Amino acid sequence: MKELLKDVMEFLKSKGASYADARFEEHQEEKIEVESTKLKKYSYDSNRGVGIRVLKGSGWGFAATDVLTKDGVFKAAELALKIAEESAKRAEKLELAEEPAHVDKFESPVQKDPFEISKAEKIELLREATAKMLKVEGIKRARAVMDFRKIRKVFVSTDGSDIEQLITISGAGIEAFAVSESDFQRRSYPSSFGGDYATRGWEFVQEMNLVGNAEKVAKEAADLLKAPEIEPGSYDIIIDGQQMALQVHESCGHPTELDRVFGSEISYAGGSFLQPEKLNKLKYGSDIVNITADATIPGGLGSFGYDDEGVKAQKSYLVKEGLFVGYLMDRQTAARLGLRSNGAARAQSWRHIPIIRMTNINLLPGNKTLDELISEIDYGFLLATNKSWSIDDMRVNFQFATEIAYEIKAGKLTGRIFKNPVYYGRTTEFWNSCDGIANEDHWHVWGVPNCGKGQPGQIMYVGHGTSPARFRNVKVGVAK
Amino acid sequence: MRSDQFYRNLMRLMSDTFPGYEFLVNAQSTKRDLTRFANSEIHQNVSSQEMSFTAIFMKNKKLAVVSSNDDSLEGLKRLKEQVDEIIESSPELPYEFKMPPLRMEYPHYMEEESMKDVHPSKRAELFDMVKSIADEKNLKAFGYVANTAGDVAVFSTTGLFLYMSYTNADFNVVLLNETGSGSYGSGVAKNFEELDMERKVREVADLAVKNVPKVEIEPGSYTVILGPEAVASLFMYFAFGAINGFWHELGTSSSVKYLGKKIGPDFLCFKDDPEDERLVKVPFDMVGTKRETFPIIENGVFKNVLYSYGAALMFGKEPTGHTFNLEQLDFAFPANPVICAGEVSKEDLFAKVDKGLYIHRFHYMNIVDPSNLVLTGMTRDGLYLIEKGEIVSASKNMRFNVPFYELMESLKGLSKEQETVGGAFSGAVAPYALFEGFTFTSKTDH
Repeated sequence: MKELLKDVMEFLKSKGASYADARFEEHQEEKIEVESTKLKKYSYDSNRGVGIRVLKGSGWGFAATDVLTKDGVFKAAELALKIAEESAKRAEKLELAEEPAHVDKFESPVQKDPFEISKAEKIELLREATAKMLKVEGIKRARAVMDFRKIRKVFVSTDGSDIEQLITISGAGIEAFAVSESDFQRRSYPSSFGGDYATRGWEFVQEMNLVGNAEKVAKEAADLLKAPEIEPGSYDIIIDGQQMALQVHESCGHPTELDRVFGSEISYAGGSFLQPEKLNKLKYGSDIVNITADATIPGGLGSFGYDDEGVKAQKSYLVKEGLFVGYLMDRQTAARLGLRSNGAARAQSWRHIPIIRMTNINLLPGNKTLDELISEIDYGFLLATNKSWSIDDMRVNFQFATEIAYEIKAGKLTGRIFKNPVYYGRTTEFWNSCDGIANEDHWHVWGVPNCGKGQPGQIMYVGHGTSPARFRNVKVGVAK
Repeated sequence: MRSDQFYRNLMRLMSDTFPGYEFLVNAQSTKRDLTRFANSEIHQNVSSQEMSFTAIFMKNKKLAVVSSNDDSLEGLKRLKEQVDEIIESSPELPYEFKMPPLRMEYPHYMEEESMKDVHPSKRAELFDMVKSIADEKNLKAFGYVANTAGDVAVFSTTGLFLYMSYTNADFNVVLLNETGSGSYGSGVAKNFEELDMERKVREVADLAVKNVPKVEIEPGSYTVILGPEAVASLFMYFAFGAINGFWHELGTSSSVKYLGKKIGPDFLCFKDDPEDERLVKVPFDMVGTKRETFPIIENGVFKNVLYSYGAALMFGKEPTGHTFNLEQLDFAFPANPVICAGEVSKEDLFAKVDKGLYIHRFHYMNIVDPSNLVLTGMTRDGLYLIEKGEIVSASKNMRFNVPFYELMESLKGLSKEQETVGGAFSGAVAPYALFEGFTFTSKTDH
């Protein structure tokens, strides 16, 4: 296949393409779902195809096909060329940031290939976890899921790049639902909406200890049915690492995507308040807030060797000591700022063009323990595990709900819990109210496997390294 | 697009490759072309084609679900290895799974000749039209225009074989004025002509010019008129969060408290209607259940939840024709959603508002409290002040938090006029709606 793709590159060059690349991708995915000790679904998906991107003049064209014969691939190349020629009539001149040709291979760091683990072992682990949850009084429904993916990519470009990558992804999680006549409540572990993910192997799932955490999760769900809601008001809060991942994702990751800044997503996901005139000037957060984009973290869900236009994985700062200092960029948008790409062009599959996506967007750890963060709160809450999220189209006004809030009084957790907690604010006000971040002992790279963007829509798997962080005087609860 | 004969051949090949198995297959071929523009320039132009299938295999009361885009004999043999392994490793199902019964219909040939092989210049011409309208009013254009041609077959070892071919066109557009605010429109239809794109883009342009946010409003409760885009979003979240029969049976849906009850005025009606000519008809679902007009809210009463094939088997119900993913047999969704028209004109609906707001559409909605279906989200692309029935100025966007059922109680009117707006599956048909008591809870900067 690689030789065929190289022939296509030569063909496109001969037809006047100023740049072209081609990706062959082969995806395998295994999903397992157990509902209340019964296997509900064991599914396996495999697909493969080629996506070809052509720049001719100022116009981009892209065509993808699953017909992998020489004829089928060349037809896709010709279509991409035809589309590029049509686009060029209605687009202004564009440049791509410099990038050396890379000839390399990359593989995710996997100790135990999840596809080599027996299916029966996976099912049994999930059944055991749900059985533990169901033993808790009040639990009517217990779910447990696993998801494994293997993505093989071959990338060639007219610049001479020749890159092979094998990305392996493992994810799992459990949920307990407590139901009464007038309410139902859910608790999830280690993360909501499908659990936690990483570019690692079966060892990642084993480390979660799903079975060992099942009873605690279920008890909390049952207790939430009897819990009160927080009286709306302003409180000092600590946000746990999992919810911080969503907070970073929505209020820092997305607004630093440079294609959004330039308007390419206005018709769907929206724009960004982080316009170029704010770069290196805006006090995004307090001095202790440092946020990086880092695709080199071993095992992070947003880690890889090269992005989908052949740029090597990198680490760069988006926010440094509270100052907004950088964007997520691809080669086209970076060139507009006179910069090099920091390797954020990613495509969901061979069917999709690369667009700017998050890699691992991380709030760097601070210097306090979680106990120290709690000890400096007179009255407030520790909010844990995302339940819902919403943020405006410029990424300013946000509102999150979490599954549970733990009360803090006089510097200690009281053991009292609250249901349906909601907090909201405005991005820069919120991040400037951050006065404590837990240290690296509490830091974990959370995997978010379902980030949506683009037209046609694309789903991307991204990571967020976070630890619990404290924010002062945050609005909690909404008048309904 | 393949043909019904292609899928019949695939069915034979699968029968030969998977002896001893019962199976149900949903196979489809799609070619989709999409041109995207921003800042009044084309910046993305893509085409993708694929034939893929998802299949449920059953043996000894055990199930395996597999999907692939490799229909070669070698590809099917590789897939069989996975199926064998899954079946061998799986416990028996906790309920009796039956393959859908034998059902045959004449093929549904619904494609339009003009949409089968669309040259990229056609979409570029439509972009030119949008740009021209935007330029007339000093606006910048953002959006996409797309065309799709495809076909779908559902077949099984029980003799079920159904086939449909289709084409469609869809678009959305945002026009922004020099303040960075603007308006939005979308649509979906069987072909570019029925998309009625130029009329919609002109209406978007008229509203975009008016969206200069001068007024700052405070959080609180307001009388509002929602445009069709906003109404469709509201009911899509209701559909997503409250009408799945599987969740209803498990008690993890707000429908437990509200099904069978009157939740709104007599004129409130919401249905899944494959017979509505304005939408791209989906005549059968992916397990082959015939789709018919299905009331969800009727005369203000929350009348029915939807039962997917899996949920129906588990809970002894009849499947309602809303299973669209064999990997999610317990999930049900209305593919042709219609919020019924009211009896007053749009103008008369506005005339009822002495002082209130017009919300053109919502952004990033989500379910805050699923037990009570409390929804949050932002207004986007137009929050206008109405005085004495007329739009007089615009405000910055606001965040809302509204319990869906309480909001329905405050519904005061629906317009006769409906629009077909883009969205999940085939789009949705929705009117303008007048509510009293719509709660905004916080502000933003734009």
